[in-house]
Amino acid sequence: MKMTDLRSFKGNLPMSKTASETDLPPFLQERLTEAAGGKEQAERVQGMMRPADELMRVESLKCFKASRLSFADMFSRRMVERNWRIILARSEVHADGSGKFVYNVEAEGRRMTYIARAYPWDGIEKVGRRADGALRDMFGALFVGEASEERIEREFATFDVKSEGDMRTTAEVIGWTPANRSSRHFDTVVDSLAAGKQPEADLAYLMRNGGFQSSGRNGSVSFHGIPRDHPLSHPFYADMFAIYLVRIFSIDLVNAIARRRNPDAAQLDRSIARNLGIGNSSGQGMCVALQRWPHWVATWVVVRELALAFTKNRAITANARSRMHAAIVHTIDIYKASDPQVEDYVTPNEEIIANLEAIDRWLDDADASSWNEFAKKVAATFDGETREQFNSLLIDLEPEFCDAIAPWLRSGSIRRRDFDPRMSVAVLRGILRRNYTWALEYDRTLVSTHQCFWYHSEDNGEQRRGERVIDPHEEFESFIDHIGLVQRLASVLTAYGDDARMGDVVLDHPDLHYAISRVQYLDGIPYAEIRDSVAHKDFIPADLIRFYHACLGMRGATPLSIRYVRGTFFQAEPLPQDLSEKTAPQTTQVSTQKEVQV
Amino acid sequence: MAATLDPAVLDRIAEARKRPEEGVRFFYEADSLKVEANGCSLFETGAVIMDYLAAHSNEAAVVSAEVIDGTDPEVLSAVLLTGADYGLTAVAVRPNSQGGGWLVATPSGTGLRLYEGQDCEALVGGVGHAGLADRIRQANTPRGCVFVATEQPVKLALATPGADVSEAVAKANSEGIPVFARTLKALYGLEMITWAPTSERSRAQAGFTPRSTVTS
Repeated sequence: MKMTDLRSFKGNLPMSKTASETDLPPFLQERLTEAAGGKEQAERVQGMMRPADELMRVESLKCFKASRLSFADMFSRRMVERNWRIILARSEVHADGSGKFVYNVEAEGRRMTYIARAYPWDGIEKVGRRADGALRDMFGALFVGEASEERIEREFATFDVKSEGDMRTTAEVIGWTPANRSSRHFDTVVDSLAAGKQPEADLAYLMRNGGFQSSGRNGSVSFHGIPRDHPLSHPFYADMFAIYLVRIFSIDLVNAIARRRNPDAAQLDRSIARNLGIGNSSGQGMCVALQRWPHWVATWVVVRELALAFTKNRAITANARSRMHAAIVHTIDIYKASDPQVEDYVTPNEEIIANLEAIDRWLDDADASSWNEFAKKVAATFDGETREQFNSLLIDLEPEFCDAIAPWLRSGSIRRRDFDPRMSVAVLRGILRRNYTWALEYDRTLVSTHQCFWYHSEDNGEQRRGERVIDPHEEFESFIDHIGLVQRLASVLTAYGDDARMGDVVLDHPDLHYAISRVQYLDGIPYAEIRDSVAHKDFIPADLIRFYHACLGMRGATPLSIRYVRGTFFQAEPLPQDLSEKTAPQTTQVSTQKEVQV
Repeated sequence: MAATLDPAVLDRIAEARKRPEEGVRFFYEADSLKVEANGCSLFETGAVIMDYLAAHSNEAAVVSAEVIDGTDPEVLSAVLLTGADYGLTAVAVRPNSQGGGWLVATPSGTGLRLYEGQDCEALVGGVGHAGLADRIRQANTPRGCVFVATEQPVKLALATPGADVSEAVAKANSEGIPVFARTLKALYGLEMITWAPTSERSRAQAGFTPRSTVTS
């Protein structure tokens, strides 16, 4: 093994490539060339994609808003367009609010079973954190296929164990849907219905998602074990469907409890029910997921940015202006309906509304010939959140192109993190120079740049963040600091000659195996890394949680603390009855979180 | 991957002991990598050995390594499959102290295949590669576990049909891997070793508390 080359790694490093200089994955390149009408136009579109140095900063990512390319939106459209059927097959409810529900699902030639078990209200408001363990107000199970009565009863019996670690399922199940009641909304709605009245119309949700437990967890089927032709064999579709089913169950449950109390009870009006979503609270563990699966982030961002650039390249036509106007009006309605309570970490809704109104006025006397010019004006005039909200509306203007590139959200996300032991140190150094200049030049001499360490707690493994020196347990630190990792890798490589192989390096430094494979497998992928220190003292986890939420399709996500973000999924989206009538989903959702949860 | 072929591997992993303090030493001797494992697991040494062998597999017809005093031979299949995933045909010959016998992993079509047997002479005769056969013959009664690998094509002609690893992994993905409750609990216990003790301050560091009470 050669260890003679002690040349300094840093120095005279070229600038890293911008996104527009990075090749698109062939699939996206082909779709773009087809849709743009040739290579020249495709290059023009690519030139409008923002550089990673600008886009992959937390300051930019935190501003992303849901669009047609968000997972919830894509999934909702699929349910409607492919005529899914969700039928409540049987239910039983007791006076204390406990009950068992069984649903039959018919989707694209497949039958699935969903079961839900409600527990009596224990008077404890639960946010849905991992530390809660099995302490939930309901558990549900979504089966890969149709479950027998015996199998259903066995699953119900498992739920009743209510002890984390002792509850196991089988690969017949895609995942469990623990969820919790919104104490105030749930009882309010039941009381109203039992009294024969409809509840107030602007409730946001009845239950909160407690975290879809799937992909091997508790013994559920691995994502790769779901048959390829199964409609849920797509990133986040099972997650989205699971929480959609909790939403439906929550509506059925309040109706059933009210009817149990009073046989003449009212049932939720369909328009009110449709406006109920499923609440969601997310903690900082989502940031860890983003760091561990950077190719997910890259996939989501490249698809969104490409769709945006495609629209920017289009001329502003009267038809597009009209549709943009309608979209702005609808979006303003959403913001007006929401009640974020805390706006310390976000652009206040009132400000975004005022900005969107201004943008809407510009539409009437726009002298810009293309959306690119218009978007530049928006970006130059307003804050990041307004900019990205407008960008999401731009994306929605070109649905055909969005749908054409959407398959990459699956293909790009299932990339394997390979390790190439034969790669020479010289080649890896070249990759580092090409892709990680931003990380290598990051000044970590100040303690604040990596002051926080992230760890799992013995409270069910809940993700937490401590401060070095101040907090004990630093030895339990889990991976989050990708900049530190890359700098250490570059530093260690200075001790090796150009001809040494990665197999030599990991023999000496097995802890660098992950760092090397990360650098290797992300090479050539546009937008592959978040270009900020997640371990920095001033990093706000809520910023990346909001980015994640936007990609999933949540509207109106608002942080209640720097590490805790809540919002609502599937509000104003179709109900099963709408699906059977093929009602088109709304393109955006109303979000009204009005409940203080802690 | 090893558990998809043999779920009992999980039982063994569940009994994992604390890593010996002496640790692992690597050194080079007569064109072969030597590993003094000093009681450390093949979990620790196996993958990097395969990385090393793959890295140098284009420098010689056959590359090899020997691990003295390694533990957890049950994970040998996973170690060899790492090599096969790099395009190597990788062989392990176990010392008698670990039950003797051999395993071979090799790329096969679009997947990987794993063979296992006891008779090293039969392996020598059926491995279909002169260099591999010579090195296996030399390792007939090894002190430690011997790894031999080549990136050159081999024509295996073994008495055993071997196992289709891709099929086993696909089956495990869709049907799961059977596991005893006690094993699962012990594996969960291993994960919990990485969890930090909790406290009131620690609970606040999850962030699920109102902004006003959080200081960082």
